[in-house]
Amino acid sequence: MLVVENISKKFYIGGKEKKVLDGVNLEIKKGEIVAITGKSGEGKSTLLNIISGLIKPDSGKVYFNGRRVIFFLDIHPAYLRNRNIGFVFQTFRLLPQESVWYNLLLPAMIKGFVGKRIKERALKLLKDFDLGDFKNMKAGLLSGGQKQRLAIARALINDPSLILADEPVANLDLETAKEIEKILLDVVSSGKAMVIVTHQLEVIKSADKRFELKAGKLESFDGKDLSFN
Amino acid sequence: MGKIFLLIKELFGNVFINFIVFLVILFASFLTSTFVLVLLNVDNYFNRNFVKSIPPDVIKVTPKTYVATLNIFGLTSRKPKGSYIDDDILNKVRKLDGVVEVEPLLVSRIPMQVFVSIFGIKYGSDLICIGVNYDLIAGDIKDRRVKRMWNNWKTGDDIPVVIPEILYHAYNSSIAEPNSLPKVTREMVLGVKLRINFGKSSLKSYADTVSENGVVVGFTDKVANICLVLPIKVMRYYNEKFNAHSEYIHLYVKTKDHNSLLSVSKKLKSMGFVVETDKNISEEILKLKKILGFVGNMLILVIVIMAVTSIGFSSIVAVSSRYEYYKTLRILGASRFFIAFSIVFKFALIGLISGLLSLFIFERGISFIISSLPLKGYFGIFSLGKKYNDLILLGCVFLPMVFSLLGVLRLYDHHKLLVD
Repeated sequence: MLVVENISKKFYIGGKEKKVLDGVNLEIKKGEIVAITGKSGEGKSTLLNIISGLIKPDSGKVYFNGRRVIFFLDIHPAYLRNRNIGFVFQTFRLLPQESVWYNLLLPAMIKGFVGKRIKERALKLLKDFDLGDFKNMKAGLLSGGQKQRLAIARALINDPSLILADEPVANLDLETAKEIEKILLDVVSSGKAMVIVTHQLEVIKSADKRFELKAGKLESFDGKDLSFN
Repeated sequence: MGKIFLLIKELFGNVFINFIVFLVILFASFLTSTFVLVLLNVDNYFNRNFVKSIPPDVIKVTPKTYVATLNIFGLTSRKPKGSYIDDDILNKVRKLDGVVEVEPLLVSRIPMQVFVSIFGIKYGSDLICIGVNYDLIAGDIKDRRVKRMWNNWKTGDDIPVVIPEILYHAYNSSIAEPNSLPKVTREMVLGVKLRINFGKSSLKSYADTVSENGVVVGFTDKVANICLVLPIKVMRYYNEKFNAHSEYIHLYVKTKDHNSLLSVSKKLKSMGFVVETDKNISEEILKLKKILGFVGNMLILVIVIMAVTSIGFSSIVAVSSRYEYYKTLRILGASRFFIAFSIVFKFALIGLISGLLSLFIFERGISFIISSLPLKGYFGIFSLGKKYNDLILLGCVFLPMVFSLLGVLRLYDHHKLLVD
């Protein structure tokens, strides 16, 4: 479904060049969970940003469903992101001043038309994620767990085939983190693929493919040594 | 539908900052309008009280002196450019840009004599006559009867004759005094009958000489030649009767304004004529006008820079304050183009509404206040007019658009839009 081919990316920080990704290759198949771990600043988020088309790699190619992603003018990546990719972040990235309902429907509004079918789907998602009672509440007033559940529901509203989760439980307490991990794994069991950046050993172990990002390279990870964390 | 909803949402997103931008544009355009109106009135006051109340001087045009000589073939050479003024040249001068009126002085080109009886003594003399329009001497002789005589003369009527002041003084000081003759006063000369011979002088006489009666009707300082001043009609008639080509000794050229005086003088000089005028007043007035205009434009520039800076600054701040929102939209699949379009659209709309409102308040409010104040002598313009209104409205729409675009440029910087 997603093929990342020889991706490289460097940044200039304080006038110094830093190569964050150096010839990264990755293949994600339908229904597969890919866990990526690594030290802070090793480029895990950058890799997710490139996969989703938010930033352009310096070199290399990204293929989605066999078609190469054209980064020029941000039109193709934006289209893919809206229809095929659901994003879940550590910081939730909700609009705190807006209602739960508005946040949930935002990707559908960007897609174009918010019809009866989408509204029914949104109501179902609210119910599934135990947010039915908070439909009209401002998102900023929700608890951490509720916010992340809303973020996952929002990621699913356009029924994407790939979920990108960037340390989704890092900001949550242990109990809520477990709950969110379970939700994410349930989501994938419905046939969606997921790339999850995490330091949670249990999540890593449950993944189909495990990688560690080290010095810009993606290396196979056995899931035993998490000493860097 | 969803995207239209997002566009509307963008308009009402961060209402407080949008309202600040709205107020800044409103205030800036209001200030600019007020300032432009004040300057228009200063310019108008200056024009009315200085430029137009001190009319430009009249330009006196004289052909260059030319003495015809015989060439080796015994023929007279052709008159050079600028040495004569005939009807063709008169028409050319009339058509010059900036010329309002041309008063020609048509010189007699035939032998002439005049006889006058004064103190019981009969004087006779060859003379030069100059024909002019009544308008030229109207300031010296305000008499309807004379005007009628001057304009309606036909052969057989008494010819109205005007004596140039210079001739009057020249007679008393150079003829009467040296020859021990009694001096004349204006009252003595007025109404004196003359006998004027056309086509005859002490040196030459044509076969069909005509003798006409004339009467002195006044004095003038508009013609500074030793001659008699007659209606131009008379002079043209007798020049043509004796087949003499009409030529003008001077032209008095009136111009539209001080600016035209300078340009017309320049053109007349380039035509080869001797040009006399007092250019100093025109030059000084134009210089003063230029300085005032420069100071005014500088002040407008300062106001406009202040307006542009405040509009620009508030627009950029408004865009920057919503970067997190735009980032979220991007993550969820909005393209940079859509985000940029919604921002620019919002600022264009805010600019349009605030610009229209500011012009409405200005035209209805400030203009009304100024017109109701006792400033009648100073303020003559109470409205900016379409040209300035359009310009200010254009600025209100485009400046926020352009500056919000500068803010939007950050959306195209990958480093600034990195997702954590």
